[in-house]
Amino acid sequence: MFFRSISTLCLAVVAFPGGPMLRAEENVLSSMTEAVQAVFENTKASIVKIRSSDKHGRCVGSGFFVDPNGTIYTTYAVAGESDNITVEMGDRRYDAKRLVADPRSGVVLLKVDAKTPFLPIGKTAELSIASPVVAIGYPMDLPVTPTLGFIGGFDLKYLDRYFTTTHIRANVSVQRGESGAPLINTRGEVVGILISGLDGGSACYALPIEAAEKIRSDYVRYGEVRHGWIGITVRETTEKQAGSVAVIDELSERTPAAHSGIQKDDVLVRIGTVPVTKPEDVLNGSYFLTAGEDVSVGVVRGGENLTFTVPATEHPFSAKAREVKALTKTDFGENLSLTSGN
Amino acid sequence: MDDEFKELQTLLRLKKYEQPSQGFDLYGERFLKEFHRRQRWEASRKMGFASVWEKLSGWLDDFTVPRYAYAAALAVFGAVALGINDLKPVESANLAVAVAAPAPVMVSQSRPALALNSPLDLSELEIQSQLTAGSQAGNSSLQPRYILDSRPASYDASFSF
Repeated sequence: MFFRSISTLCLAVVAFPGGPMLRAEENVLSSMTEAVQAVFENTKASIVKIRSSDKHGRCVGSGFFVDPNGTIYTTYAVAGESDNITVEMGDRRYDAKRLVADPRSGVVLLKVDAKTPFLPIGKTAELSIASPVVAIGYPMDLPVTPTLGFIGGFDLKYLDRYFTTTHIRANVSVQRGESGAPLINTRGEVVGILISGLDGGSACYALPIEAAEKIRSDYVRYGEVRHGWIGITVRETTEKQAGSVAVIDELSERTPAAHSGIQKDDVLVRIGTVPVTKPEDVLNGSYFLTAGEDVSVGVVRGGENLTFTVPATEHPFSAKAREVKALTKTDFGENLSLTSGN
Repeated sequence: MDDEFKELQTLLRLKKYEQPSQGFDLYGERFLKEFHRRQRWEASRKMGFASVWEKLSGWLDDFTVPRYAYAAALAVFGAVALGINDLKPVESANLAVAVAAPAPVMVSQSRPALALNSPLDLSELEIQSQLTAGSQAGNSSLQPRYILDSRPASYDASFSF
């Protein structure tokens, strides 16, 4: 019986050489379709369309709930400097209040007075190149729409311009109106916020959810965003020490670093929990510093590993953002950045 | 009666020998010129609507049409007018839909460059703002901007922290 079955299978393969391959492809596509449909059905209720207006007219973007109390993530471009913000969930519409608008990360936190569904938070570290992800947003004036794609990379710069922190590059086709949409893994967890399109929308950049959660964490704890700063400038050296080519180039005067014990030409190997092997790594380490909190800085001096604890102060970006606000005299009713709205 | 007749005959005989005074020809020419000039002035004054109306009135006076013909013409005119009025709202509605439709608006929302450890370039910020405003000029009140930045916030990095 067994041999007869094998013989029949072999005959079928010989007679229809493309058959099993086509069936396998169909199975893969069917599985992908079911997976995307499951993610879409489980998450679409948490994804909202956001409308606002500014001095140039009306803006429309996307966003999503991150807790059951109506807290929403979206982007600075959608609701960072605009007012009359409303949120649409299906046929329901709510007025939204801006809690925080942070131009450094491009993240805005909104709040509506409602009990809402929300997306669970995933981990970017679990993603790798070619991991499947789904972006779900509101393109143009169309209904909520899923788009399947794959992780293309994790970039710190694009066209010679550095980002604030590493961004997820996803080969997900996006359209206008999807700024602020969540990037969701196959478990239905949000792993990024869609920040920008790339090359005409054929791909996109998403802020890792951990970077957005730093903003929300600051707001929850302090009522404002607190980007940290200790006053160290790093340069690259040709000689690698302890696996790093990043050395301390300057300790700015009247900064916490100036009195920390760290010295010029120390080899930088760690900022907080972020390992440093090259100067670019400073961007990720710097992003997660919080003003008013201590940060441990690991250096190598004369072959000896040293750790210094330095209290972080306010990042110059915060002061500059306030300067911009003062000079441009925005009249949006809430702060331009880094501080709570009310 | 006979006396009067004889006087008249005498007067006519005298007129027979009467000649125009010196320069009468010149006077006649001037009179004729002045006459023609006034005639042209009067004609030009009546040009335009008055002249046409005068001619039309004269023609209508000579042209007799039955009353039912006037009534029929009036009815046709009314029907045409109503037809035009019925068409106008349809055209307006189509136009309104076309304007209100969310036509795609390409928006460049690129952020100003923010160096970590250098002064903000406010002029760039202003230029970006102007570009955005310019791209929306004239249609911003009706068409929403569907937002998608062209790139994330970025720096001229100085690797400071």
